[in-house]
Amino acid sequence: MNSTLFIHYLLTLYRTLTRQRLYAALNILGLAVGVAVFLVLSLDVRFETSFERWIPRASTISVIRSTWLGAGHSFDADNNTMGATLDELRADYPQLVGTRIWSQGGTVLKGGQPNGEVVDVVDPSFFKVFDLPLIRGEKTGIFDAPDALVLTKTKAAAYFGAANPIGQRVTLSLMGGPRTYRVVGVIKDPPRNTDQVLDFLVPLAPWMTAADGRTWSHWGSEQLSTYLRFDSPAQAAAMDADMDHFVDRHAGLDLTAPAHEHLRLRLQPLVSLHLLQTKDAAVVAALGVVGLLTLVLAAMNYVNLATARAGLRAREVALRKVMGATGATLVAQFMAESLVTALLAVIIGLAMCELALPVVNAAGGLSLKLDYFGPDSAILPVLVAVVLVGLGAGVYPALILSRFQPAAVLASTRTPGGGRAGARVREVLVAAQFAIAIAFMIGTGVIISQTSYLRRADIGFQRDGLIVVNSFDDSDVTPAQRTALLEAWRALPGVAHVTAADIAPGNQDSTNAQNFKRPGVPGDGPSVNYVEGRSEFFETYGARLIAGRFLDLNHGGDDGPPPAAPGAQPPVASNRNILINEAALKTLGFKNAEAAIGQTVLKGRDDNGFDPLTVVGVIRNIRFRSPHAPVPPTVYFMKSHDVDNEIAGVRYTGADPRVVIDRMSARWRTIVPADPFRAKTIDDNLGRYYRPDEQHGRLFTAGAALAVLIGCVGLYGLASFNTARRVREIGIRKTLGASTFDVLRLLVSQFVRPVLIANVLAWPLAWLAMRSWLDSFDQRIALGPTYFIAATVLALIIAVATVAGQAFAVARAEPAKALRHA
Amino acid sequence: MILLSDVSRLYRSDEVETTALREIELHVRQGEFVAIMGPSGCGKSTLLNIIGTIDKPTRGKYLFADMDITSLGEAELARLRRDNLGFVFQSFNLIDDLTIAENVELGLIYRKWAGKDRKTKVAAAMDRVGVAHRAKHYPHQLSGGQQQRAAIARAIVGQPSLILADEPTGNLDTENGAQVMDILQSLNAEGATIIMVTHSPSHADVANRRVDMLDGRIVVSARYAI
Repeated sequence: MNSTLFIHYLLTLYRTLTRQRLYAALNILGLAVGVAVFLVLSLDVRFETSFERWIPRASTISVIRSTWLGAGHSFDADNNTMGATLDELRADYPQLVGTRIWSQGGTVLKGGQPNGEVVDVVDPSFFKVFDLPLIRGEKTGIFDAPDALVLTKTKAAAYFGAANPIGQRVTLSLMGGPRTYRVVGVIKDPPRNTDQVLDFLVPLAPWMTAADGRTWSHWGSEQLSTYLRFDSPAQAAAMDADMDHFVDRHAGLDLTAPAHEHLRLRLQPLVSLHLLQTKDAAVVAALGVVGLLTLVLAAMNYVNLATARAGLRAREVALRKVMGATGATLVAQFMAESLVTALLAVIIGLAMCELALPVVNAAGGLSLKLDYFGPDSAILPVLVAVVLVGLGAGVYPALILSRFQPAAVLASTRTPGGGRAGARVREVLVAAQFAIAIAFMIGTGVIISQTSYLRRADIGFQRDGLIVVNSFDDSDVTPAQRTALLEAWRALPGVAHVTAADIAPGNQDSTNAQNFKRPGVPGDGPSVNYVEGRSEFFETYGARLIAGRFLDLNHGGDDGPPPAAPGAQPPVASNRNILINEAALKTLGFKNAEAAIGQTVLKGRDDNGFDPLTVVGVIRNIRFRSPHAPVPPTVYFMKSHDVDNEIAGVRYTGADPRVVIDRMSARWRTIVPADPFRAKTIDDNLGRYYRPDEQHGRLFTAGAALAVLIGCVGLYGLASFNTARRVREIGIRKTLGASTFDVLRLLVSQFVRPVLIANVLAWPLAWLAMRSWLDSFDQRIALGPTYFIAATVLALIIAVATVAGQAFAVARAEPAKALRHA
Repeated sequence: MILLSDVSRLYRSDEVETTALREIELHVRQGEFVAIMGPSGCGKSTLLNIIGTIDKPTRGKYLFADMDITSLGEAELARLRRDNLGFVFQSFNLIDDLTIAENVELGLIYRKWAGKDRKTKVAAAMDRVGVAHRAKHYPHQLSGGQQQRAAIARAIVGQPSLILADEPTGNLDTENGAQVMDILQSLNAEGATIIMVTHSPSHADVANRRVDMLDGRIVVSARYAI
């Protein structure tokens, strides 16, 4: 193609676009929105799938995951292992490269002020596994000294400002008592796409394992994560295959043989950890599909409009052929036009994406960024999109038009628009577009209903008016201080109830389980969670009694035994009274709540014996954790004194939560001056379980709404084209006596049919997708027909509203005008 | 049957105002066959369109069967066309995506005729003009003459009291043109009123009255001896 011809083609394109501005705007903007939605959602998918890939050689790192097995087991697989697992592994595999990460709540004292920080206790071999580059310091022997401290750039700046942090001393209160640490290294701040905090790293010291007592090397306890590095995937696979034998070799003393039937250890690649939970992977996949389908929808739209319009240029093509254009030059012209238009749309799409990202980041709690250069560059996929859409849109009209016989076209009064086959193709494309749009509408409706349902669903306790004090569990707070704090808070104005327990809404730090069974049941009995709480636990959280009574320290037998010796398993007094939840009622095999009252339940001991307990009450299931997981069967104990790993809960009435938190903080500073106060309202603390679904739901809804908008834009463009093309026919029909309503019905029904056909595809697809999504929730709405019917009705309303305006204008026009000008 | 009094029609665009008809006075009686002649752009088709109620006069009065057309609404005009008028166009104006039978049937559908009656009428109309064997074909599969005969079948299927033909032979060769004129003549003989725009003096001779137009006015209105 010579330059003159190329300029001529560009001029033709410019004139085509500017002469038919509405069509050009619909076509280009529709594609641009599709590109923008695709880019934003693919950035989110990339973000979610890129977790931990910032760590050098991340693909060679595995984490050990534990699953507790057994009848009625109540634990899902987690990333925690017993403290000494790595030591016992090294006994079998001396060459093993691994490290533990033991996250602890610590307090850094700065200028006399306590600052709460997460401190990761790691093995000296940490940097052999996590080969993070140091900004300052030297890796060799970095953790040789027991007082060594490595911190991130941000933390270094926070505590030492611009001064060189290396060699600076820090007072760190960790696991009971302040110690002085010396900064030996500074690492870069981890990016947002990580689940690793790594703000403060200190080496594991013998006094720490001693402080953990018997649980450090007791199979059945879990307190930290164990990471291993392998030179090859084969080595990791070989070790993974040996894990059951390893558990049998080492855990036989603590677990009934064969031990691997109780505890399953497996290696999991670090990079796959973030999306390990099926529901997260499914949500990310769904967002990816929404992005891709939106782009496909926009591209279909573009192709549809382009091919429809192409017919109108038949005369131009015929004349060009008469003037000497060959088929090849015409194909080249249409392909080039299409590519340039697609490029224009994609550039606008990129701009829209840049404009949308701050809003999306704010709404979704994300930090997505469009990279133009480097390994994550968006340029290549965008160029691929331009070429695919451009060629896809150009090839059909190019081939069809270039085959037109000039004489026939010029002699005909008809506009060749691909004929009945072309109309059929366009109808199929409109049906496909609306199938996607209707499926998205159904999905959006279900997601909105489910997230709204979760916000108001019965979770077995009263979620308003609660404050959770997470710092209550800090190792620096003594039992006497805890008791004093509870008393002080109880006396505050606006505070109705105060309690502490080893569980709190939104906290997942501690889970206890043991075998429970009824007398006469053979074997160990099912594994059931148990919770220990102080007085007013049930009143503070507003638990609902089904039968019997709440535990109350005024009743004999409700209180637990006195505190155990440090490190020892706390004894359980025989015939202690307990409360059980509905799930435990079922697991233990009681007929109903009333039948359980006064009955004996046996709790397993580590020495394989059983302690008898008496059920005095049954409560509704209390959901303190994720709405996805079922509420585990749970037994509740009450203690008048210190509970291990306890979190305080405070119920307030008629007061501003900020005011209550301020008052509680003031009391805290008086009683525990050396430790920072950390408290949250229940919404903030429980939010971790609800926020991701809500954020992803918002992204899905926004993507789906834009997809529907694109569908409408396409339909509007196609409707205006078709209406224009049928002006003569409308004139004829009116001349024959058709009323305005007859014509309106004719034009509108033309688009109603593909919308109705679209349901055949949309309904089953949406049903399958939403059924699978809802199944990931323990608490969920019913997937009733309303969502499907509503989406269809909405799609019909949108379709009719989109085409009715222009159809009405044409239907009302005088027939003579239509016949004269068509 | 038709009385036009002081009818004018102006077309306005952004820049130009064109007067297509000026102060037209015309009276057509039941059973007449009127031929309208004149050079291109003289307003023949506009006059026919106004008579056919598919265009509206800017000024003046139009009575059809003593009914004031200018005061009727959109729905009433549609009903009037449906029940009383048949149209034949120079360019046939058959709907491309409908078969010949479906094209002929269309007006009866708008009249809400029962299916069985429609089929009988359509078959009779197509038979009358000699296109019954092409019933299931699409317009582009027919010759021009056949298409125009199909258009006449469509115009007469509802037995309208008035047939309006706008240069019905304009796109046809001599033989096909003669056939169309024969059909129109026989329809008139059976009682239909026909108003036809034509450029052909010989075809105008078939009519029993001739109206000559120039620059939007009727210049001569002569009645032939029958």
